[in-house]
Amino acid sequence: MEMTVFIVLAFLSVVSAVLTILWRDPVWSAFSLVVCLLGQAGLYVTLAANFLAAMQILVYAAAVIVLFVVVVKLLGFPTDSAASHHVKFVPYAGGLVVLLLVGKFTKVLMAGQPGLTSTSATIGDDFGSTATVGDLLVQQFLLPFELISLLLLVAMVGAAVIVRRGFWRETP
Amino acid sequence: MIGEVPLYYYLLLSFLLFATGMLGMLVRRNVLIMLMAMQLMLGGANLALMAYARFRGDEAGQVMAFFVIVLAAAEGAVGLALVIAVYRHFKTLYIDRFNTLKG
Repeated sequence: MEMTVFIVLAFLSVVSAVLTILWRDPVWSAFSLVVCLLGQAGLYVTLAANFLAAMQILVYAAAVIVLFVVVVKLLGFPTDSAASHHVKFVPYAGGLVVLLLVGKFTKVLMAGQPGLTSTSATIGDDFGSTATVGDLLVQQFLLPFELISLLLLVAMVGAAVIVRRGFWRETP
Repeated sequence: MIGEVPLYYYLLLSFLLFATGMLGMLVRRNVLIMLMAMQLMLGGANLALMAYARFRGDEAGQVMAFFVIVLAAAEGAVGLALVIAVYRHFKTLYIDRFNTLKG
């Protein structure tokens, strides 16, 4: 049963990920990315990470994708199609890199992980729940949590400053 | 709850997602789709973190994945702002056309 769920979600994620980088129209790419991220959220649930699955849907599949779609619609569909064929060797180079990495990765996997069996550790019912992850966030990881909220604030202000008209105007 | 799906299935899937994102980053010339490919790569890395957290029975991995999600949101905001700013200057979204730093 778990295997069936995993295979369905994995298939969904990989196919939509491939579609994301294949569509010509960025709007379709964004929608494929939503499907991929939702599939990943389902996989998080199978990994007993319920809180993270909720975060994935809220932050990624909602906020980030809305941002993407707004920007795509704002800029319009790019008509400058000649530029996409400038570098013909890139697909071959990319394929080669991916093949090499797959070979390396499977070799590492077949060798086995030291100190880590392939079977899962025994966990309690509240593993990955909002309460336990929240406890970790405000106790053990309090400083990184505060720092990352600061980073989020800086990123927000930075984004607002960058898009302001006249920011890039030269001031001699 | 699980136990039936081995760890390396999750790792292989996370690698596939990462490789897809990397390929998109290398092949596509549209900056918006390159940003989306970057989100794919972050998602793949996140899945590996989550799988290790589950199979080691350690929730610290999930906290780390939470930080990655926040970072991805921040990166998306700044990246899209940069795309808008650059589009205003060059009037195109194709990265091959962005051929001057100053101007």
